[in-house]
Amino acid sequence: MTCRQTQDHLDDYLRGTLDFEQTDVIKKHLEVCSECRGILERENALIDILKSVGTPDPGEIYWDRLDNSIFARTILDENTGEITDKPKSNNPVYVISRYLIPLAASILLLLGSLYYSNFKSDSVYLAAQSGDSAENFSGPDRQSDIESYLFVTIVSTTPGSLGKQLALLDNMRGPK
Amino acid sequence: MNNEVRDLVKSFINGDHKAFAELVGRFKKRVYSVAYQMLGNHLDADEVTQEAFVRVYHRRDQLKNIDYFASFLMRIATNYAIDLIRWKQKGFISIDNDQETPGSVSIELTDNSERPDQQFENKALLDRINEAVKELPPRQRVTVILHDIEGYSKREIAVILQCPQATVRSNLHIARMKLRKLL
Repeated sequence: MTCRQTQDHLDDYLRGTLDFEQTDVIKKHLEVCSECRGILERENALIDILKSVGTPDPGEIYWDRLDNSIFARTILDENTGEITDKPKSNNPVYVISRYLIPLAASILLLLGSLYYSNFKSDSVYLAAQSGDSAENFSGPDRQSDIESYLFVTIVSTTPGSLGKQLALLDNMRGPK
Repeated sequence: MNNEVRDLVKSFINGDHKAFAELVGRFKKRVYSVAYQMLGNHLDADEVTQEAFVRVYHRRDQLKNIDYFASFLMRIATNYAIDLIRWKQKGFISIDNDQETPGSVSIELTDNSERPDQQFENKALLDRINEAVKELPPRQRVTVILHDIEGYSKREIAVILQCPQATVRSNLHIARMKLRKLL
């Protein structure tokens, strides 16, 4: 075995992970090669020094607190504070709070918007039927009513941010 | 991996929360130790340990082979620790290596010498080792910590770091050369 081959396997030799045959070959090489023996000794000394570095034990109070922190972010039941048997995604309380409440709120909002826009459409239609001119359109504040109607329509039909939608509304108002 | 751990991992993947709690109990000290060695302080080690388990919980579907649970967990922990080191090096997070658990000793001495002067010398040497390890780039640092301090094999490290064994060997060789110069 050459010096290079020996040096490649020194680490495994030190750990004792080589088979008997390889160990024997390296052992014989080390007996006759002072250079490889020197490298082995230096490697061994460095590993011994590194192994002497330990990790302080933060103590049982910390380990308990760590468990609680991890479980609170993963498997603790929000109501009882205990480890649940089922994953959150199968837990009915989790499903209701995560999906059903936002869904119900969205439906209510949508229905409210539709009702409001229909009500306003009817007002405009009735005003047109009765022959009122635009200036005589009934209602205490015609301009703001139309703007509210347009706002609800734009918000409910235009994708994008609220800022964009308001800018669109401003454009529709025209120059002041 | 022994059969008991394998059963726990299988149950955990199937959604058994108690199995997850048991796995946390079995692996938390190992993860904390590697994180502490890499980052050198308790607060960061705590953050890495928590985050590793939370991520493993949420990514359990990605664990294809239950035999690799420990490597999967350690990969997540070391990747997070490497990110943390890089953020600190870039100055995104203030570095405070003096943050320790109240009352804890930052370094344990394996040589329980009774003479105070010897204790002082050992403490100084171990401080130098810690500083030298911190000088290494993150991938070399994690390689030398896993191999020489924590006792992982090159094959295990290759799985954890998702790189060829030759890369592990080379990183280890370079890291040791640097450490020898620094010490």
